[in-house]
Amino acid sequence: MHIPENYLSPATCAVMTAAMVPVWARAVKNVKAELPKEKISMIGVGAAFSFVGMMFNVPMPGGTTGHAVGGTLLAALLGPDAACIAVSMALLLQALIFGDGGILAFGANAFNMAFAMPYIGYGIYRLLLKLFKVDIKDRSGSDKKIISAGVGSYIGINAAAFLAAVEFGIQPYFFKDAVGKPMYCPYGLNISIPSMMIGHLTVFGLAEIIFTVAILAYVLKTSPDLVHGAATVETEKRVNKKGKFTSYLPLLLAVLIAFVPLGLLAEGTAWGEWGSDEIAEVVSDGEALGFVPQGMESGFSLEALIPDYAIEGVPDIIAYIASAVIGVAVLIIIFRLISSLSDKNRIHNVERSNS
Amino acid sequence: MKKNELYPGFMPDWMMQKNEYVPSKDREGFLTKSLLGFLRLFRHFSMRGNSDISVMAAGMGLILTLGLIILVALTDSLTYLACVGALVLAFLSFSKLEIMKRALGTSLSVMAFTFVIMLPSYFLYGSLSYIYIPVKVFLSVSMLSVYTSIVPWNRMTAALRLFGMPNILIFVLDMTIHYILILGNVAFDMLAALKLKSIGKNRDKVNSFSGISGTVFMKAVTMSKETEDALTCRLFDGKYDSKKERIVFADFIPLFILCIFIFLYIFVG
Repeated sequence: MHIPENYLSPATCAVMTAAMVPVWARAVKNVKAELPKEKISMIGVGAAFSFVGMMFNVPMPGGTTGHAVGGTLLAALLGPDAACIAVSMALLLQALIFGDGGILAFGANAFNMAFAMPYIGYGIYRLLLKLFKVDIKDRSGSDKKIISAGVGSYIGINAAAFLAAVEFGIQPYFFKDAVGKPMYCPYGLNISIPSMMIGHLTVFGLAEIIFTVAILAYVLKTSPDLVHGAATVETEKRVNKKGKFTSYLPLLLAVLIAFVPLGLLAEGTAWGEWGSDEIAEVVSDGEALGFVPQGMESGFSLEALIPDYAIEGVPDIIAYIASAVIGVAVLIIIFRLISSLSDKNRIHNVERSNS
Repeated sequence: MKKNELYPGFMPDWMMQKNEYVPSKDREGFLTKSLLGFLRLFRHFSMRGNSDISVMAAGMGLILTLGLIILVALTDSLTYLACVGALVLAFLSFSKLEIMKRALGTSLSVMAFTFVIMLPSYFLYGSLSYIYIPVKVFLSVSMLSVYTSIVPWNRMTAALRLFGMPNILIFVLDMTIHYILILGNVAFDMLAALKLKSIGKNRDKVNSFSGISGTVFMKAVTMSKETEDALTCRLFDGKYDSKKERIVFADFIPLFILCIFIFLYIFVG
C-alpha cells in the first residue's frame, strides 16, 4: 500500500501533506498532554517497533506469508495519537532506507496508514468494546478486546487501501499532459479500486488481523497494563499456555479464509506488499492483457516511444550532452561493477590456492 | 557376550545403527523471509556515511535532493529527465562502489516493478506512462538513496533542526533510528533461535510468532523507560543545540546545481 514516487501528482501530494499537518499537530499536542514528559521516548521506541513490525512476515493459512502495517494494533497499545506519530515516523524511514513509498508521497501514505488506519481501526475497536459492554480499564474481557481489535484492524486496513485506490484513481481525470494523456497513475477508479481492494479484503486484511490479534493477545496475557487505557496496576504475571483467544481466532479466520482463493490471485506474484497488489492490477485486468499480442503484431514503432512535443523547440545540444553523459556514466558503472565481481573471484581464487 | 560389555566405554549398539531420519517438511517460510528482511536492514544501517560532511552541506544536499525530486515529478519532458539522469548517473559512476550498488539495487528493482504495472496502460489508453513513470521512479529513488547513503543520520537530523523542525520530532526521529536497529537485533535473535531450536517438525512454530512479536513490543516498552532514566541522568532536557560550524563556499554547491536545474526546467521542462 506504500505509494511510490510519481504515481501521484505533486499537487495531490501537496494536498495530502497539507491535510496531514493539522493531524500531526493535534497528535503531538495530545500526546504531550496525555503522556507525561518522561514518556515521550515511548513514541520513538513505538515508531521503531512499528518499523520492525512491518518487517515481520506473518505466517498465513496455506503456507503463504504477508506483511502487516499494524496501525490499529499500535492504536490499541499506545493510543491513536501516539500510533499516528509512530506510523508516520516508520513510513518516513521506510521511504528513506528502502525507497518503499515516495518522499513526496509521504503525506499521502501518512494520510492512509498513519491517520485513517489507526483512527478508524481504534474507533471500531472502542465501538465494539462498548457494544460488548467491556470497560477498557477492566482486566477481564480480553477475548472481546481481541475480537474488537481484529475487526477494527481489518476495517482500518481496508479503509486505508480504499483511500489509496481513490488517490490513484483520480489521477487520470485531473492530471494530463500537453496532449491530454495522463501524466501520473494512468488507471482510473474502475481499475484502481477493484485491484487494490481484492488484495486487501483478502490476503493483506488477513495478515493485519493475524498480526493484531497475535500480539494483542500476547500482551494482554503477559502485561495487560501496557495496553492503552488500561488501569495501571502492578503487573500480575499469568502466562497461560493457551489463552481463550485461540478458540475465537479460528472463527475470525474462517470468515476470511472463504476469501483466500480470491486472494491467491494477488498473492500469486507477490514480492512485497506493494508489488503484489499492484501486479494484481495487471492480472485483474484480463481484457487489457488480452490485447497484448495484437499490439505486438502491429509492431512497436520507436517513434511512438518519444512524444513529439518533448522534442519540439528544444535545443538539440542539451539532449546530446545529456545522452553523452548518460552513455559514459552507464559504461563506467557497468565496468566498475564487472571489475568488482572479478576482484571477488580473484580474492576467492587466491584464498583457495593458499589453503 | 556382547562387544560393548567386554570393552567398557565402547559404543552401545543403538548408537552404531545408521540413522535414517529425514525430517518432514516444515513451515518456516515466514521465519526465513523475516530473517532475510532483517539482514537487509542491518546491511543498510552498516553503511556509515561520510562523517566529514558539515551540517550545512547536509542541509543543502537535502534541499537539492528534494528540489530535484519535485522537478522530476513536475516535468513532462523526456529531455529534462535525460538531463537529471545525466547528473544522477555521472554522480553514481564516481561514487563508492557500495553506494553505487545500493542505489542501483533499490532503484532498478522499483523501476522494473513500476514498468510492469504501467505497461498495460499503453495498450489500454496508448499512454506513455510506462516510459515516464519508471524513469521518474528510478531517478527519485536513486537520488534519495545516494543522499541517505552519503549523509550520516546525525548530520541529517542536525540539518532538519537547522531548518526549524521542532525538538520533539527530532527527538522521536533520533530515538526511532537508534531503536530500529536495537529492536531489529532483538527480533532477529529470537527468530534465529526459533529456527535453530526447532528440530524436525515443530507444530508450535507458527504459534511462537505472537510470542516473538509480543516480546519485541514489551522489550520496546522496557527500553524506552530505561532510555528515559538514562537521559534524565545525563541532564537531557529535550533540546538539541547544534555546535557552530564554519560555513564554507563548498557547502553551497548543491544549491548552485539546483539553480541550474530550475533554470533548465524553465527552459526545457
